[in-house]
Amino acid sequence: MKEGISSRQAILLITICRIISVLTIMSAIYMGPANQDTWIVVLTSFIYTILASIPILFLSNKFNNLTIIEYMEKIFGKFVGKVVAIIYAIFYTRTAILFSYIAIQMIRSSFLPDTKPIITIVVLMISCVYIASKGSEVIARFAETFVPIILIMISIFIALGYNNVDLSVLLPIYKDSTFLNINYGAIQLAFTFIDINILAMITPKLENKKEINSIFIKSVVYSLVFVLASVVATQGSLGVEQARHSNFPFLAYIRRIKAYSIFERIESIYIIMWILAMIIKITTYIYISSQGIKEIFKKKSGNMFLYITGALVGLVTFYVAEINPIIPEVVEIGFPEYVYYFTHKTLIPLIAVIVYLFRRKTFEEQQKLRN
Amino acid sequence: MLRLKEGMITVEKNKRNLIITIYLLAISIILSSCTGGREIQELGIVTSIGMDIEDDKVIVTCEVINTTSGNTQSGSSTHSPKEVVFIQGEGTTVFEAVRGTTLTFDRKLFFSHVNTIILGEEFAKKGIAEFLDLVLRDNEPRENMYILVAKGGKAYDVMGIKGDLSQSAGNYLHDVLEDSRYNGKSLNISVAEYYRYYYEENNEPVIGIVQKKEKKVIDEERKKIEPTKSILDVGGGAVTKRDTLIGYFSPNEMFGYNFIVDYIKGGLIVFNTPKELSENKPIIGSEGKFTVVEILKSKTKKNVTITDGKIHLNINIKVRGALAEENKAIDISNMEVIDVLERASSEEVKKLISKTLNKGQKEFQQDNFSIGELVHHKYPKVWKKIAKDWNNIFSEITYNINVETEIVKTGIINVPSNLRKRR
Repeated sequence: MKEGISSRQAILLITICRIISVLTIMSAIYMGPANQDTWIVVLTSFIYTILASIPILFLSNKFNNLTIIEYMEKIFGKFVGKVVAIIYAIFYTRTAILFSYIAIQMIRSSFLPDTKPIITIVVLMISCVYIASKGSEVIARFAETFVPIILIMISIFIALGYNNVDLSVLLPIYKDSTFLNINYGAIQLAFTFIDINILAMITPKLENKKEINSIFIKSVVYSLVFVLASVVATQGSLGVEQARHSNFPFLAYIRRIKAYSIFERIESIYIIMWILAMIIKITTYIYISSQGIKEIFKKKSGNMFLYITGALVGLVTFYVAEINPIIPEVVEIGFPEYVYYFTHKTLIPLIAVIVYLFRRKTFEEQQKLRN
Repeated sequence: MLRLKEGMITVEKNKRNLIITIYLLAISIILSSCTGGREIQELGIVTSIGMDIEDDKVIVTCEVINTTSGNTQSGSSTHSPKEVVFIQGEGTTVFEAVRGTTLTFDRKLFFSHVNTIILGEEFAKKGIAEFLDLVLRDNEPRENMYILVAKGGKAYDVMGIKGDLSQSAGNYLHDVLEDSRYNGKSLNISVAEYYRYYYEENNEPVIGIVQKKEKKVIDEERKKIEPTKSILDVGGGAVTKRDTLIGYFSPNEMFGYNFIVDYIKGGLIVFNTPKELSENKPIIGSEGKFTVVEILKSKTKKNVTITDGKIHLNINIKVRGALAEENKAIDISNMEVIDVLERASSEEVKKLISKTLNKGQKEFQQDNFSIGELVHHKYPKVWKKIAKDWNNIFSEITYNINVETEIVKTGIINVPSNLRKRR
């Protein structure tokens, strides 16, 4: 029997991919009002995350035996479909590069300052490519094994820093922000969470394809709980402004933990957990981008594209890390970046949905003929 | 066909073994953390830093653990004088001064174990924020380190002073700060906490202080060599305007400050025992004046109200305490007497707070107590209008202090020793 990805594995995989970007750079604290009301922004983002993901969820439900790359080609036709597929493959590769870059910057500036980035990149890429070469089921199993441990550890870390947290920092509630900028922040946050794409690429491998919606909603809810807790703890501990000054706010929060005389200097434990989560995220994106390229070239087997993608991600990460030391460019996302995320997450799938609805009869006839 | 299949399996097996061998070799090299590793004997582990300014040059003084002394037994009172060494660097910036030490000192400094940062008075008067950038930017120093101002002197003046029991001067100061929770007259805030208040709009942070004092040596043998000994006193607080030192709170004013900002973890409320309590009592010994209540728990709640455009501050404090000392001959087994003592204790706390608030309003004319944040929380629209002029407004606000003291323990005797118990 061919092994698939269980719903639980998918939930854990998407959840950790969503959480880890916030735990690393916490871009949420720069969005919308960028003040003590960030937690409201996080909560509100739930609605927009679901709304923004409806097109992909719709298509993934309709074509649950195909990946986003495959059904885009089917909907748009060969030429446009190929172009869209290439756009998505580049999007996934860029995401893998972006998170490799963020990981390298955090590693080199926070805990391995004397280690050459090339060594870190090589070790990171070998690990990620090796795991990815074993297939999506192994990535999912890897997530299933480690994500619960990571989530428990995050909860413990948040709880241990309680004596540094001053919740009055989050006052006054909804007085310095407007309805408009809270919603704007929530929309920004919703667009930067692009991990619906993972679901769109692993749908054919899901054991229970009827649970696509429930998998996504559960992973959004679980991840938002952790995002909310980490944002509140970080802002409560460092203050709103100091958190914004930090490149890695949650790490700064962890560094401040000092509880019961024994829990201090525990960031090394956090780093282990963080590296594992980062590996899951980068591996997943390297895997789905190589899968995408493979599907564009209609190759069914072989890991050649994976090795090429891994090498490309490693090389570009090294190049970018060497010439660009500025993290704020990644943290404080500019308007063009939001447009970029919106295009890939919502706009292209929305156009695909419209095209699908126009061509629905053709698809249904094709389906009948196949049956 | 079968032989070919077996051959292929052997090739696959060899290939797998080769990969595993290469992987294990690579991992054994990587996991040894040799890359970028720094051995302990190559490090100058810094435990405290002092920053001063002299002739517009930054002087950084570091207390460095001597890892070559081989005499670092904890609790030993006969320490080798070279357990720690003090080194200084000079530069136009802090980092230049720190890195300058590599020209004269044979170890590269390592700042991960710094637990206190001491700023010379002159240095603090010039402005702190610009010089502390390195402390926040570099990955080695920790945001948890305590920040202090060396009152009336240079940072390096207080750095070499070692307590009788602590292993080093840095540890002595750190231990004194940790113990200050039993006192309430000092402030031990970390760099991260300092910045949290510093970033608050219109709040002027208060920092802990350290002061060098002389005391008589008691030990007969040591007295012959040196009649006095330097000690450190952390009582009081340094008041800053943004990041510039402008004055100090005395230890008692700091006690009041800690009550206002709800930092009280312990301490003693010492007050004159009401005279009427000892009238017509069968005194059998000498009689003193004071009662001491030890704080077990204290909670401060503040709120502001605006009436007719005037801001009024309400401070409500609940203190749970233990009767720790009674000099006067009073019958503390009587609940009415306890009630009187509770009221007197509350009055004393009110006096402490009033003194501190008055100093903040009249002398410093600025908000060191985060009162502005209360206005911001409760009246955000008003705050937007008055934020820019807040320090002037703060100087004029009226306040009301309400303290409720509850004595929950009276110790293991029921009347003082100078009073005969009625039969």
